[in-house]
Amino acid sequence: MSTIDLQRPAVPLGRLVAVELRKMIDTRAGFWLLAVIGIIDLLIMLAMVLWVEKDFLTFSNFLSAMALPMNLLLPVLGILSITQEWGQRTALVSFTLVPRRARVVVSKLLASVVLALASLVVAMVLAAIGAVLGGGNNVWEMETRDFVAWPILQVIGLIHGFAFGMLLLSSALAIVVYVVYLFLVPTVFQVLSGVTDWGGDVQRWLDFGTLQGQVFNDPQPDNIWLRLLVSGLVWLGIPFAVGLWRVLRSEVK
Amino acid sequence: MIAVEHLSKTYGSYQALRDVSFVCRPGTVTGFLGPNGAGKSTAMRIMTGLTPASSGVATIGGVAYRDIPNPGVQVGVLLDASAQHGGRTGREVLTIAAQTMGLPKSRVDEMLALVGLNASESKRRVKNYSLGMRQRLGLAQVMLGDPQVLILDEPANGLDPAGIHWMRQLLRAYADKGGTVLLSSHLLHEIEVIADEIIVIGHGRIVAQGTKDELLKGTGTFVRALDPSALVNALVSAGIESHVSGAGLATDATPEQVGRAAAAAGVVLLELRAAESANLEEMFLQLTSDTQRDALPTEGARA
Repeated sequence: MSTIDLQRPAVPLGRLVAVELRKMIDTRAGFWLLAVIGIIDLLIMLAMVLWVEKDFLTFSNFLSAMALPMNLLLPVLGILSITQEWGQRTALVSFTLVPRRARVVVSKLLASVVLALASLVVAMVLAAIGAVLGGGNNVWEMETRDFVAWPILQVIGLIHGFAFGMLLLSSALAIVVYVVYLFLVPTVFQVLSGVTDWGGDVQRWLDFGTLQGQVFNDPQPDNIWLRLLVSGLVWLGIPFAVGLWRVLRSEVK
Repeated sequence: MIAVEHLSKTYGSYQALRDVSFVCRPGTVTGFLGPNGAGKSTAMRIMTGLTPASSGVATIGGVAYRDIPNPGVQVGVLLDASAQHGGRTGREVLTIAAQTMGLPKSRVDEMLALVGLNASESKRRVKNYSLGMRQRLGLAQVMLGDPQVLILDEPANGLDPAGIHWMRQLLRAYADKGGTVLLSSHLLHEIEVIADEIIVIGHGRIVAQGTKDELLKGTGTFVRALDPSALVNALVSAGIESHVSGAGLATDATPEQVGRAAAAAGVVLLELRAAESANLEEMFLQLTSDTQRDALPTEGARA
């Protein structure tokens, strides 16, 4: 007794991811957030089947409709996975059990992505059921490109929330800032490009949200990857890097 | 073994810790005693890698905390029993910790039994726990991995006297098995009851450290005679200074010197003994107020 054993195995990453998954669903906030995602998707599906024109009830349209609430709820999932530790001060315990904080961050990110993918699968199943119930023609018609783009964009949104969570370390603040980013920033760009000469250029290079959608346009706009990189760096890359630095270095009280 | 060497921490112009050094040995319970804001928690956070030190190093078993693989099974850390998600049940909190450390679920039940949380209490949400129950839950979490070293910040806070007694026995048994325990408190009574070694800290600086016996050992003698004035005369003629203390006299001389002086003068003594140990409380108050007096002008000058 009484000597530290450096030969003991470290906590494997898989176990940490499993722990973080558990932590994301064992609280009311975490559980209900996931439940609400599923419930909203279900309601959207039912509402569309009941009230929307039959020709419109395609798998692709169901997915597009369900993407709207998920655009906000998945980033919130990412935000909460980080900020909950600060709000409830459990970071004190998490970081003493796993003092290499980067491993905790990686586990949280992987756990959030797993949950996001699970909720995307649920959405797809509900969209498929909706398509069958709708009973229209060509309900399965969907561009492969769009089918691939849909989950990728959702996961990027989740990582975006994760970055804002690390940057701000406060649930309420991070959610508000994300909502502003999601709904207000594109509008500001729109207005700027309308009323100024230079606004259009700014929008072309910095409107990350709009640019993400344009990647999958056919034909692809000029310089789209470069513009996506620049805007992504500004809105996602920098907040992620600064937030990560903050989580790794800040004093935990 | 915990070793802290020349630890300093500054926040802007505020010095939370100044050149703090001490060692906690296996088989002992070390009490870290100081008023609120003395720097105990800061030192403990530095030891566990939660706060970077401005200078100096803290090691456990010779290595930095962050280099310990799966530290939960080697070092038990409880820095704040209230730092738990209020919406989780006590059992869930322990299950998460056990899963992180790779321990079987049966450990959770063992620890709940060890700290005296029953089945229905373990299923309640932590936000409905009293502070004493949170401390018990925190101790259960700390003991889960059967670590060799314990670092506990104010673990007796919120425990009732029976709880403190229970914790003393728990930590005593733990140290007797060869474990190293460091616990902090701002209450002397708790430290007096639990610790073998005491480190007193005030304003970020260590003001006293040693074994409890060393720190408690009083100097001088208390003596009471049938005829007090005859005793005073006897002491004066023997060149021993004394002053009135209660029903008798207190002096810096040894009991033997006093006894010989009284015998030589034929004074009948009713009581003769080593002076009552300077109560740790007096020492604590004296030491901490000393540092306050020292510190205030310096801080004023700096500001």
